[in-house]
Amino acid sequence: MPPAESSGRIELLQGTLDMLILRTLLFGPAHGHQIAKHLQRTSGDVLQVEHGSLYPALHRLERKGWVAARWEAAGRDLKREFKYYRLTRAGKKQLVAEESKWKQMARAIARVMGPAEEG
Amino acid sequence: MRWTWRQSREGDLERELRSDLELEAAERREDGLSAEEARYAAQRALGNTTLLKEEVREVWGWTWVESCLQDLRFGSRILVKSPGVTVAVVLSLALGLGATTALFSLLNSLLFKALPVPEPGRLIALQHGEGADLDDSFAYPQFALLREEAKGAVDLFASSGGSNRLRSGDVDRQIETQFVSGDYFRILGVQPFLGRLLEPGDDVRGSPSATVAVISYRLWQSAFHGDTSVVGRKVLIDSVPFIIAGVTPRNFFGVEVGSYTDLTLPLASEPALVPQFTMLDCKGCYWLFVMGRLKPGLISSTAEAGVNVLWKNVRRATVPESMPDRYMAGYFADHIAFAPGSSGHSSLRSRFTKPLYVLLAMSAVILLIACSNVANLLMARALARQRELAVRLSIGAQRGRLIRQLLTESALLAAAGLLGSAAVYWLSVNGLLRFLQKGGTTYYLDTSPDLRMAAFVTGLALVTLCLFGLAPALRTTRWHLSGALAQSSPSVAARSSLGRLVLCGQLALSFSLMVAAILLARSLYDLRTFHAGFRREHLLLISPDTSSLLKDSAQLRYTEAALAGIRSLPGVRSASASVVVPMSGSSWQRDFTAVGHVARRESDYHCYENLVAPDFFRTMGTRLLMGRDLTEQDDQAGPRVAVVNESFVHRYWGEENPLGKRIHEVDKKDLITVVGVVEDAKYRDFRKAAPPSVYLPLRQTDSTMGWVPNLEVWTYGDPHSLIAPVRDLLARQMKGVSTTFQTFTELIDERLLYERLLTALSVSFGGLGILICAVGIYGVAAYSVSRRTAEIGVRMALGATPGAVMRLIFREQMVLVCAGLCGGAAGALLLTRFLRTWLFGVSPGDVPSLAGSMLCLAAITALATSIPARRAAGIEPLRALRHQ
Repeated sequence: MPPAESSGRIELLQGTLDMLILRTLLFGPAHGHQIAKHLQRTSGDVLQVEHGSLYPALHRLERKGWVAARWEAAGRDLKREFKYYRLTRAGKKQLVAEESKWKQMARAIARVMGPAEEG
Repeated sequence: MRWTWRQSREGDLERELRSDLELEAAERREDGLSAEEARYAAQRALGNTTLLKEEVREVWGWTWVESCLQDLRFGSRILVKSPGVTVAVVLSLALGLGATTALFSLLNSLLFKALPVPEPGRLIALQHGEGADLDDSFAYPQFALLREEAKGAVDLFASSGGSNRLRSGDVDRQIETQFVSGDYFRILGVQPFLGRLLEPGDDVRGSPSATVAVISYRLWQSAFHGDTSVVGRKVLIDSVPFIIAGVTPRNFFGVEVGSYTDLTLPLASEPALVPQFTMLDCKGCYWLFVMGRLKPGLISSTAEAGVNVLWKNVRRATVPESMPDRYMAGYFADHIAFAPGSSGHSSLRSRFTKPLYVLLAMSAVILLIACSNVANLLMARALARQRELAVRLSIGAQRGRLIRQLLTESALLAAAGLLGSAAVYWLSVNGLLRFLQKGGTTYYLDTSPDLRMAAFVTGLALVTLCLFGLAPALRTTRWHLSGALAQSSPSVAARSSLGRLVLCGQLALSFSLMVAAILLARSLYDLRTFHAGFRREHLLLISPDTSSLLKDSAQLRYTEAALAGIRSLPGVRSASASVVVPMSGSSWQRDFTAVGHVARRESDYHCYENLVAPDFFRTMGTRLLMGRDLTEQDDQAGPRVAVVNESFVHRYWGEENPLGKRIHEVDKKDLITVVGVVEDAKYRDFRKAAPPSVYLPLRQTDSTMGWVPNLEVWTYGDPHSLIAPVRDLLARQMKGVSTTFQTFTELIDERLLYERLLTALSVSFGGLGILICAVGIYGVAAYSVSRRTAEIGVRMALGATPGAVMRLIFREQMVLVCAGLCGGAAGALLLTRFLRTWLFGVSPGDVPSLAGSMLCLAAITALATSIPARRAAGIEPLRALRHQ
């Protein structure tokens, strides 16, 4: 994986991309481009998702059965088809598990970092 | 399936990425970029798509399929590039694997396969005898009594195979038959395919249902074309009417492995078929195979002990009337032994097991030679590819991946070899079964594959693959990179030492095979040509089957009339008749003694006997040494006379003149005068000395005990040309008598079956081994020359003559051959020790045979080396040095 040499942009932690994708799909089905744009927008352009990691991640989730994919027509004239991913029941369960794990982790990191900032 | 699925996945990803690219480009255009710039920008945003695709593929786990396909493609390309090597490898593997599997398959069917009945493990086969000398035949009265007595421990049933004539409508053929006790099918657990099978009620003497018969599926198909109305049909068996009750299942061949019983009759019908002598009443006739099924919960050894107690009573109750008192002690010392009965019984086992094992060992040796040859060829090729592999290793190829590549090539070869071996297997099983026939009927062996076969083949294939594939693969990838890359002409000696060792072993193995082949071939030639006391050519044997038609006296009249007729036919030199045909395998044995002679042991009275018509010795070519032949005048009216052989004279009178001496049967008083002496003639075994034999005139015997005299005709030309005229003649004299014809050479060839089988196969194995070896020697020599091109160039530049170069190459190969031959001589001595039983006239360590094989192998080596050696001698120094 090529290192992302970004200015002011943060490279994603290993494994968090999967969680973010699942979280994005919680709002409804989306195709790869939409997911990437959504992550970029909602993070205030901080998170830049490389296609090189997005698509392998999507396929990994599909293989694990956490997302399902279907080709659907969309766009202005419904002439183009996109591969829409949606969350499966197993994916929802996975998201809940990952979220709680993430929160735990975030709290733990905050506790470690907190005093130093103050002190 | 998987492939198309994979294809659609690939297309899917392609489409997905394209749509993303288009959206990205559209967004960039909206940002104000030109169409072209927007496309480039989108492309950049997407990054390295090839890498991306690779990663997605990995997600779906396609890479290993991919790389395997790559290996296969590459492997087959490599194999096609050197067709000579590939063909040699595939052929030798196919022959080795196919032959080994075929022989194992025969052994498996003969020895191990269970009968197609429920719970075959509960079946036992009865044997009886004194000490370890066991026999598996029983007399009917003994069986009948033991069956009743032993009811609590084991259900016993009996069977006896034979051959009878079947007539029904337009069907008229000789078929294999058996007599069985009434509960044979019930105890075995065989269900009818059609109608019903025999029941205890059918096996009651004198009852009308004693004349029912059960036919096999095979006969039902071939003679009755699968007609279901066959049940209840009346057929003639040896002109006695029987009614067909049912058909046995397709896979049921009886309990005798090696034959397929076409017709089963109740034992109670035996008197109807053989009216003049009923075996059922005979207490001294051992003719039944007895098997049983153990009662549930009983173990074999317990039942065996119990049955042995009962057996004593049975023996006491069934003492044969005519048995001399001196045999009584032995008669009561008899005991019963249970043998496993799950695979039935077979008269073939004792005869074929050892030859088949020897042949299996030989074919395994061939397979070993083939494997090592293949390993050598692959290794030589891998060495040639050493730089390629080294480069691949140095730019990061994993060693495991390279080994897999090399193994894939081996597997491809193995797969092709297996495919070929299937054909070889099929051909050899059928060929062997055709070879192993008796009097025109083929042995039946159920060679359909079973678990044991599958395990054997899988194991063999895996071992083969490892033997020839893994070793070279491991070896070739183990080199030090720097060494392999730096040296363009590495020292040959070090590199191919393993190859040479393998070649040595190969030479040793094929040398052993060759010695075995030569010894067996010489034995067979001797057996076929030595003077055994009779001629072998120009003799026609005629066996008229008059047993069911004639009484003894009528049989004699028939024989004499037939002889008179045959003697007057053109092309006949002389004709005679005898109850026993020499070397036919049957024998008459009786105890004789000379007047006034006292033997030290009972067995010293034991003699072989034959009842013969006049002119027997002249017809058979047995030399009359003293006195006269038997004549027409030696009949019931004249004094009783006999002709004896040299061994007989030697035993009873030593050097004295035997003519006019009196002999008699040990338990009888009738005196017989010796009127002639003939040379010793083999009786039924070429390897045993001729036994003391007595020839009595047919006309002076009261009874032939149901045996029918066979006719022997000495012809001027080909004996076959007389078959038609003799058949016409006999048909005119006696209607309804079926006659079988055979030349004496054919009979002897039948007796020499094992020798012929072993010789034919070992000669082909020996030839095969040498052929494979020659390819190996050529390969190694050619490889060595090609690697040493530069060295030879230098030598020649420094003044070596072409002759010196050729000597160099030859010397190298001959050292190899000498080492191989030394090992081979040891191997040959070991192998031929097992062959001792079949050797005749040569000893296992026969020097001319060993020397001949050595010369032959040396010649082959020289021939195989000469081509590369000539190439070496033709090397041009300048070009060779430039080659460097």
